[in-house]
Amino acid sequence: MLKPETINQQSKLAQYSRTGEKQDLILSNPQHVFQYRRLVFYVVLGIMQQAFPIAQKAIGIESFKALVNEFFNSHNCKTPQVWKLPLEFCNWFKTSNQVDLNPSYLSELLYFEWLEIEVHTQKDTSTEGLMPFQGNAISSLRLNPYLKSINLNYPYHKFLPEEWLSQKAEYPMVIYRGVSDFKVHFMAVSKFGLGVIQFLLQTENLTLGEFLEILTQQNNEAQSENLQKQVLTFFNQLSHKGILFEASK
Amino acid sequence: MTFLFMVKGVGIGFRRDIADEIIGMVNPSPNFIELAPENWIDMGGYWRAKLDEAAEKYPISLHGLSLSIGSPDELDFDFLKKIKAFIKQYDIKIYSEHLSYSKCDNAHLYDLLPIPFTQDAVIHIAERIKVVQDYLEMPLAIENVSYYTAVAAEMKEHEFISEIVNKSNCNLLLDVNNIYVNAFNHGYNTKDFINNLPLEKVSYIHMAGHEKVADDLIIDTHGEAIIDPVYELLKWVYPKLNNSPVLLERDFNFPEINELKRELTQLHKITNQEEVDA
Ligand SMILES: [Fe+2]
Repeated sequence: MLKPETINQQSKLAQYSRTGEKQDLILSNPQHVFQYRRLVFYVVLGIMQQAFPIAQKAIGIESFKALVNEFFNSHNCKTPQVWKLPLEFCNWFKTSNQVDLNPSYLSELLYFEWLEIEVHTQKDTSTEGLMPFQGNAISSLRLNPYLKSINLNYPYHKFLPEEWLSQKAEYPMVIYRGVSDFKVHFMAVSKFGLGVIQFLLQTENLTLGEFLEILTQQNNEAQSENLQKQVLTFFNQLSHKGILFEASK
Repeated sequence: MTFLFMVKGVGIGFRRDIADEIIGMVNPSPNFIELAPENWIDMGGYWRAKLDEAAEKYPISLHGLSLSIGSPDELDFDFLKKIKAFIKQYDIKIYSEHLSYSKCDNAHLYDLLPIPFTQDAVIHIAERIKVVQDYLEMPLAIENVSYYTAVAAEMKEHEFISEIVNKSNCNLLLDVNNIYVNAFNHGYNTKDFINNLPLEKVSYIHMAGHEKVADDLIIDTHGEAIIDPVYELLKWVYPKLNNSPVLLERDFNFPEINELKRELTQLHKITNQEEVDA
């Protein structure tokens, strides 16, 4: 059993390293204890700077540093794997009072930057049996397994940070990892396209025939013919980008 | 096959910045690679493919960061479960960790804090090492870490390390650079310190560079080349050890690959007991 005094000293050193606030520590070299604060903080700051380069640039290095400091002070970092920490940062930010103190885009931007990491590092799943989408009516439609969709409120990819707030609108986007080249790609889609992708994400192994039938059921005849054409064009685009595949059912 | 995949000789830390260079390294190529499991567990895509490419070529040893064996907090069995699965997946024979703590009050700190050198900490840590070894069904090697100030110390560092190793029956990862760094920072003699350690338990060796940041302080950066006095210390201690594998630790500020090869060659010479050109 650890003595309370040992636990107390360990806790105080950890507290000091997290906050930089002086603690009552029994030290052989008190003049060097600040190295721990420095080393610990710079590991976390480095990880966040690497994860959120756009956010850091948008709000400025000093504000970003202060934000990471606040996070590290007030949040108990849960993951033993530091490369997963940016997700904790996103979640902390969303629920902290920092949301009101920062530009209204920041929460979304942090999450958007995290999605790139998430897709890039996502665990491998089998892509056996996936063939390029050819429009075969009886094959099941299969999305790239490394794909996230998001309906952005701000155009990070289109405008400079100064213009983001004034350009608030809907910017649907697909983020995905190439199945064989492992690279992360971004594709701006229409609202209709986003709806189609989100529908496919929720349904499993639907064939093209079944998909088109659902489309027909939900719309009148004139509309559905038009929509079918639109969908097939969109599917071909997705196939070309390595987002849509088919597999025999 | 088993023989081929033994960790022996001289290895190098497998880091992303030099992953391709390490995979393609020849004359000399490392005999094995070491990696931090935390950086690779649950990871897919490009980096998983690189790891698998390296694993085809080299035996792997693990050097963990987040076990926090010296922590007052409970051991994290969800994390250990992942470590165990990773060890099995890559047929790993060596798992080492730092004799320090990196988690406290339920929060990870992602760096190595010094444990108070106290008798209660010895008992606490020795017990935890036994639990980990039982759970993983393999020995754990514990590394002597560098530290910049002792905290509430009641015993000497070598006593602290030796008692933990003896009580838990774990292996010792001897980091020669850390001994050099600590001897400088805390004013002790490197050889006396080493002679006081249970050298028969050394199963693995680390060699690295460091940075002198003030007249009275060296920081263990792993960002510089190994210096001659640290080579000399290895040369002196190696005959006392059991042919343990030696690992070159380089974590950032990476030089040309030829520089790292030169360091590997130096280490080979020492482990083969040849003359070393300084
Ligand atoms: Fe080391």
